[in-house]
Amino acid sequence: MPAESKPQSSVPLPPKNATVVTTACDYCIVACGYKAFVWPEGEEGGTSADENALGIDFPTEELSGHWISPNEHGSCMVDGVRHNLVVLPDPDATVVNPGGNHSIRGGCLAKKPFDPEGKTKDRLQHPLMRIGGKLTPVSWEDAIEVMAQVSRHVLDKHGTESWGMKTFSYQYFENTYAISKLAFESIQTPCYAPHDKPGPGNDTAGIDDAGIVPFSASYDDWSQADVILFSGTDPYETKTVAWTEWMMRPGQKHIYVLPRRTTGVAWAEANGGLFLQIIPGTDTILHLALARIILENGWEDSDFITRHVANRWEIDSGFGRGTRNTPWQWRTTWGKFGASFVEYKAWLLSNPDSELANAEKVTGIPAAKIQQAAEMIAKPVDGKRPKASFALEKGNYWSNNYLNTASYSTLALLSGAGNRPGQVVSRMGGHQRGWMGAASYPRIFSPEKQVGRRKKEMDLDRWVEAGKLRFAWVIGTTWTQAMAASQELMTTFRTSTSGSEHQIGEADVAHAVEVLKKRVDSGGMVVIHQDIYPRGPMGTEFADLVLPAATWGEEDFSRCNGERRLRLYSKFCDPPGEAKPDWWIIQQFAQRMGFKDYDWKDSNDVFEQAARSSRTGILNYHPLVHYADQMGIKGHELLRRLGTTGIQTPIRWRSELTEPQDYRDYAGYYDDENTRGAIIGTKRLHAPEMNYGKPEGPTLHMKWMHAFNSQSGKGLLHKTPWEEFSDFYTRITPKGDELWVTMGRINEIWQTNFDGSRTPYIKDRWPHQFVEIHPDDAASRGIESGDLCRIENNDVLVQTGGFVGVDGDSQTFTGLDKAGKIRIGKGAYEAVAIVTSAIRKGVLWSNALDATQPPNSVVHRVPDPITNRYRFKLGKGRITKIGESDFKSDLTQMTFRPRDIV
Amino acid sequence: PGRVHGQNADAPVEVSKLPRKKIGQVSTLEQDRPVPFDYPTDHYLNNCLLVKLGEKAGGGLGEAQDIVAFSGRCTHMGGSLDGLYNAEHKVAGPCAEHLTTFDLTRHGMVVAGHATQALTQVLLEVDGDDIYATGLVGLLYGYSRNG
Repeated sequence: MPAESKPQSSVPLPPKNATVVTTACDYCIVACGYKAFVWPEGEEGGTSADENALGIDFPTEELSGHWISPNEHGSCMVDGVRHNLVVLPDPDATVVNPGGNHSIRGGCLAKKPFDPEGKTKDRLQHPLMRIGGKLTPVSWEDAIEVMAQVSRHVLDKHGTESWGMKTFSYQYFENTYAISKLAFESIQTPCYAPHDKPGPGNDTAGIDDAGIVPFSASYDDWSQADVILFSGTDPYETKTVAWTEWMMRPGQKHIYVLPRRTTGVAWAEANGGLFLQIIPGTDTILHLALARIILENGWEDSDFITRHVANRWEIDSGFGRGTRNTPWQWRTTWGKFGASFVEYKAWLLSNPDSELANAEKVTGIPAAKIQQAAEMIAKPVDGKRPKASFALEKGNYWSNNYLNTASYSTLALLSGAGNRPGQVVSRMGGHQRGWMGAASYPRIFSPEKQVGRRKKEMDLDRWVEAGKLRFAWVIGTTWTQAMAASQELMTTFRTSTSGSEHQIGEADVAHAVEVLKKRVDSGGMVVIHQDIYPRGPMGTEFADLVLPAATWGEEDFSRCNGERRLRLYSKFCDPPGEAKPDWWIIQQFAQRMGFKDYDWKDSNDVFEQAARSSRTGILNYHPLVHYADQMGIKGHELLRRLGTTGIQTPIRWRSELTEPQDYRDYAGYYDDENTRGAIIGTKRLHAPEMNYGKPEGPTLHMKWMHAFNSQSGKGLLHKTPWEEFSDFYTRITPKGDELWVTMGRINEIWQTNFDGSRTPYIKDRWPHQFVEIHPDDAASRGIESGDLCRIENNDVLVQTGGFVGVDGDSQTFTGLDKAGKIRIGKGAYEAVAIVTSAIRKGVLWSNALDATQPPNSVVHRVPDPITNRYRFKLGKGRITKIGESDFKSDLTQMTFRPRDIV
Repeated sequence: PGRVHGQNADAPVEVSKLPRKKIGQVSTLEQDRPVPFDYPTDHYLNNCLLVKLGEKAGGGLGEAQDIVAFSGRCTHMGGSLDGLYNAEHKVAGPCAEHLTTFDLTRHGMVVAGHATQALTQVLLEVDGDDIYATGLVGLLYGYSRNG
């Protein structure tokens, strides 16, 4: 596989008459502001300021943000004609990425659009039906007709619980609104799962249970911290600009809890910070030990706890006579987890799990470092408490979901964090916040029920495994590779789809419907895959219909970033062929099914209708649509005028703005001189010092804007008994020559690398899945950097059944195992070895989302019984060398240099 | 000159042929002691480094194919890489601005960081003991066209 990148000696400058639109990055949660310059091929601007659309003399100055690198130039189609495209980080940005700072991912956005002569020419362009085993173009009308007729049959004969969707949760409000309207309002199916988990619901239940909105902080808040405890994430990797712009600050100290030394860790250690190199899965014990040191020394923030943490009466107040057994209610009020400060302290200090010596043994972190971390977070210096903030991500909550997040939020609250500048608790995030639910998930129809409690959201993978799903509509995600025990899940899909005897043989609607009905009636499954590229195996192997979607730059879309900043992602080019935005495809299907209220003319119509559903949530933009209406313009148009600054949700309408100018400039606002009032964004949630004034016009003042998100408005502490997890943890701990297999994101790659693998520059950097291995582990197995290895696990645990919890331990791992509901499967993947002391001994680390060699294959598919979330980060396996990769000696692709050099 | 970037042998890399300039001597070059020079002009963005890596490198000259030269401007936002050569790992950087590092044995490929182009490599020729810069591979930071 030869290198593909061709370094260029020049880049065309946009001429003065180039079309310029604002947008934001399509990739990570930070969503840096960008400008797209589009102009016909054959034209070019000059190097003096009056000859180009940037209005800048070339060469530009250092750090000017105006330089256009060759990967910031590409091609796109406009009205069927090939055009030049420059996608440049907005050099005029004052928020998120001031001065045009950017990541390597966003910096290559110009390579993303469809180019019929370029690397993106394999974009899906037409609806395809698998006829005689071959994907064959069909009309939109026929594709939708087959889907509608088969769906009607499935719903009538097998029920709503056999019709399901697995979709991205983030690819723009307009699309997710349409998806959720169909699934939850029109069909009312419980069979829904977002791209990254087996069912709907909280990612970080323990943070939510504490009353903390996981995206309550602004980037500016992080910049004001004295110390940040990063758990399970290095934001340098894929939250890049949030870190380089708002956290990589002189004087700020960082503590990292990770099994792997990254660039961010190296920077932290060189700048007075600390690295706690943890054994995967043991975070809860670390949090307990830190909390214990803090309480034993009286370093907790007593004033804050008195004012902002709920006591027993406050925990129980406000529930009236209603039931208390919905998921968060039972966790908080029944005494198993939820606790007042007095109760928590008594529990913690009498719990041997929290003792420092035990923590050192379990977590593998030296006791002195744990002690030092506790001091950095909470020990007053000269009578002054450090301003500590708490940032977490998937290494934390996808190891041990409930206990890790609940113990983390408890530690944060004890340290006085959660509602002040520089003292915040938030997720760093992965993808952007693009979910706009049209209706609530119909939990009442879910087949799953907690022991002694109410229904809980379902695990769709287990439902598939049980053969219950007959129709699956998959949108914008590689379902099998993204979920645990990937290989086992692929086998299950294969058996019920391509392995079925009922296959479409003719390009005829009636025939196709007949065959697919036979398939579902005989226990098989029909799969629809909707995406921008052919994606295996779901699209290329399992799907009966493949539908082409339009994406970023091909339609006006909207979405929020990790500080709730709403922007318009403007259309500037054509979608390929007959590709359509997802909302349009949903609309066609819904109308064919006879569902009402899908009569949108364009994406702005969807945006404006969806605003109604945003009202009580943290992404509330309804006042913007209201204000636009008063101005006589469309909602999208007002958002477009807000440019790359956008506006932070929840948006408020006020008759007169009282916020200081710096607040307005950061949060975003619009004050039209011919229209009554103005709209303004909301910088930080849980802000007791904020005077929002009276709720005016369409503005809603939610409790969580000034207080914590609980009955009493106070933060909630939770006990986290280790025995809720230890049975499973003991069972999956590597034995003999097995190693932990854990995984994460790598800076240069976004998600499954669906765009990067078509950008030669990125592809040459990461041409293959890789695995980091410690030199000691490598030496004993004869592995060197550049060797191709196989990582294999023949002990992949897969939960079957156990949907309804009946008695005491029927849903614990021990109970499930005893009842025969844990089967043992297999999984393996191949990766190029990178031998590095950056990774902890006994642990392997790979790219989590490599869809060609998914490491989730060696991960157990047994969800956390409390929250139904997988322990994605706790795979295991044996690694063996199978040969040398080309990259070992080829000097043009891949590099084996360490990433933790500072 | 050696091949300066990995291409198929039949798909030659685009090279900016620029004025030939003497930048050093093989005999005086010490391993891991980078020699700064300006190329192709003395504009402040044209600072470069010439270095003998002590390890075979893509486009490397000399007996050990380990003599290479690169622009000293980070291809992320133009931060200067002067004085930021890491001898242990043969990388340039991390750039002080946003911590990007470049592998000098692999045509300036980004190791970790944010640059959207490999570090611009200087095309070299050795004539007797003299080392000449003759061109560039990759676009110089700040410019829309090399030279």
